[in-house]
Amino acid sequence: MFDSQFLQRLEYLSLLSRQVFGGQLLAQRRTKQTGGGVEFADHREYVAGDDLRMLDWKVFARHGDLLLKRFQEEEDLHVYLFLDCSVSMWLREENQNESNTKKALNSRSSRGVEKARPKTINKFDFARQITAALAYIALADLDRVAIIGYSKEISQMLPPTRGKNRILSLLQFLETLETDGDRTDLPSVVDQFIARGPRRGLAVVLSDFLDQEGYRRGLDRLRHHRFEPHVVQIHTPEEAKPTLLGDIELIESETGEHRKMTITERKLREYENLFEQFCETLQQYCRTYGLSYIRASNDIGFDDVLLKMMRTAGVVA
Amino acid sequence: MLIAIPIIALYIVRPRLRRRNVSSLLFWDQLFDQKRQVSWWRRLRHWLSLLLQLVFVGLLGFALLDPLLSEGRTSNRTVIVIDDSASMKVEAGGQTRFDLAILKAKKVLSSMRAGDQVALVAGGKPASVVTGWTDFPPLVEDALNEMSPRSTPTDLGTARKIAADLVGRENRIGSNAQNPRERIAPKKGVRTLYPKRDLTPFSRILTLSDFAAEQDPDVDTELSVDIQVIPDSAPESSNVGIIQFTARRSFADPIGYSCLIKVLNASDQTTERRLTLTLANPETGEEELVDVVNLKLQPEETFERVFESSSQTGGRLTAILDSSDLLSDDDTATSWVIPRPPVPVIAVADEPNVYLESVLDAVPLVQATFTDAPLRMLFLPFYFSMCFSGKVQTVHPFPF
Repeated sequence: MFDSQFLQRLEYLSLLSRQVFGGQLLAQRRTKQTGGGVEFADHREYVAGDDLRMLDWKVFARHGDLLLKRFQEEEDLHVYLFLDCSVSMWLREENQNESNTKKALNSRSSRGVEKARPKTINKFDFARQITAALAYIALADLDRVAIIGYSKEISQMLPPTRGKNRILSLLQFLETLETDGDRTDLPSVVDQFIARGPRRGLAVVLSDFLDQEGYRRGLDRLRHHRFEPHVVQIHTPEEAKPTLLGDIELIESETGEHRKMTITERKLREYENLFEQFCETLQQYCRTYGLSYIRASNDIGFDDVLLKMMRTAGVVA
Repeated sequence: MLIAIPIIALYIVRPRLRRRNVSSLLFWDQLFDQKRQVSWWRRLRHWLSLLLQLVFVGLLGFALLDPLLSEGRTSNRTVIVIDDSASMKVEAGGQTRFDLAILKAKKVLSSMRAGDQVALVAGGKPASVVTGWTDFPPLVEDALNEMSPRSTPTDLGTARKIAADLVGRENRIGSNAQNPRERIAPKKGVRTLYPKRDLTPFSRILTLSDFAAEQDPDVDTELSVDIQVIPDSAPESSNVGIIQFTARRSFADPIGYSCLIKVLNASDQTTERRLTLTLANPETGEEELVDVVNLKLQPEETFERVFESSSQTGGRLTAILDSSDLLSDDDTATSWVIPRPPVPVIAVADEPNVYLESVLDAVPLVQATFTDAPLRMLFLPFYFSMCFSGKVQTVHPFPF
């Protein structure tokens, strides 16, 4: 899945992010925590018990005030990439291949950038590509990246790693990820994640968010624990505008439940409205709490999604 | 019943639906209320639909079979009057009018139901019954196949009377009946009032003709008469025909004869035809051309002329119009000119008389024999005799 062309495209995105944001896309951000750094931050009043080595003697000599120097503590930014590994992410439409190829070719030819033709991918592969791209950019910016594959619980997790040279092991980890059949349960995953005592940082959740009620509680818990959640909603064109008509039996990929129904044009229009309402609800939730929101359809390339993220600067601080 | 089997089978063996994996049924469940699908009304509606379809198929089959119900069912009686006159030989659309009439008659036969009766009457002159009442249509169909148009005029009036006799007085319907609702039940012998349709089987007379000789078809109002004009469309009128052709011997000329010819142009256009008169010798069969006339007739114009000629032998006098039209029968007419047999004359003279021989030879029809033996006359008792002895002495009808 991650071939040499993919890596070239990652490098291109990394360079592009440096040009646009001056290396401030994800990493090299200073935390607000003050402490034992080398860069001066501010002064505060001395209280009994403070380290006398931190007293600003020059100020005391000039003004007679006992002030304590504070320094900004440099700390690596932790980027947690939550990747939905439920079976619903593995779904692939039969007619996805052709439309994918045409749209991707059109979008790239218009920009004049010669890139590889995207293969037929499902939502999970698409999410893994975006995850790899975000991780690459973060590693290039010397941030710590952790990948959490989850469905009902955390299935696999790549511990926080740092350095661009770790990209190959990260890609290898992504390739070994598999979907399982359990229903998505983001709140319990977040609880499980918090229980491990991670450092605060960015939490990018890549999912289809078809667990309509669960995603709110999961994102809320991330917010409450001082993480900065970012939402990347992934769906297929068929999910947004299905082309099913007539008598059909629908089978839910995660639970195996099936429904026999007769789908008419009117029902299709109602479905599209429902899906749009769902997406708007998710977007409204993110807007309410100041979270960045990206909606990505897998009929476009992952690099287009990254460029869209850069344009909206939703992920960057 | 056979049609119902696949319907039931389709309900029992339901077609396998297309299956499609979806990420979530979340939105579909909001669109379709699943509880309602498994409700009792849904199930009942399924079987009610099957029941209605079966009832519909049953009614359709019942209507198609058209069963003969024992009660209240009256059989139809139809008299088909088919015109087989000469005018039915006219071709229309590659078929003669008679062929079209036969086809229509067969169509009527094919629509007969069990118990229906049919009779066939020929409408040409003289009208006659071809087949009497029968409920076996193939018999009538065979009779139709054997029929062919005749060279006679139409006699539909007589044919309808024959048909009316076939139908019978008890089956007459219409306003002219004295009390059409009052009938006598033949089995019980009780005078009872019945509605017409209950007691009287529906009878009708179907007339298939071109009505060439009738401007307004004479419909017998006491009978239910169906008239079907053959052909259905307006007939083409491009016929020129001989409408009168008579010949007779001349009163003045012993061997002369005259004939009257009338030719009518019944077409809508001016027509040029050639009329040829020939006389065929009855003994030798040789044809002698009598006259040829070129005709140019305006629409509805009649050519009329008397031709005079002479022939001792007489024979078959034929008038022929060239370039046949829709009806070829009236392009040829034939009449007979009776022969004039020679009158044997025996001239008895003492010596040959050249003058007498010349006179007798000049008289038509006289076959003269000259002799000088008076006793021979005794052996010719049936001959007229004239005795000459220098002068005409006497004429004896018989030599006694």
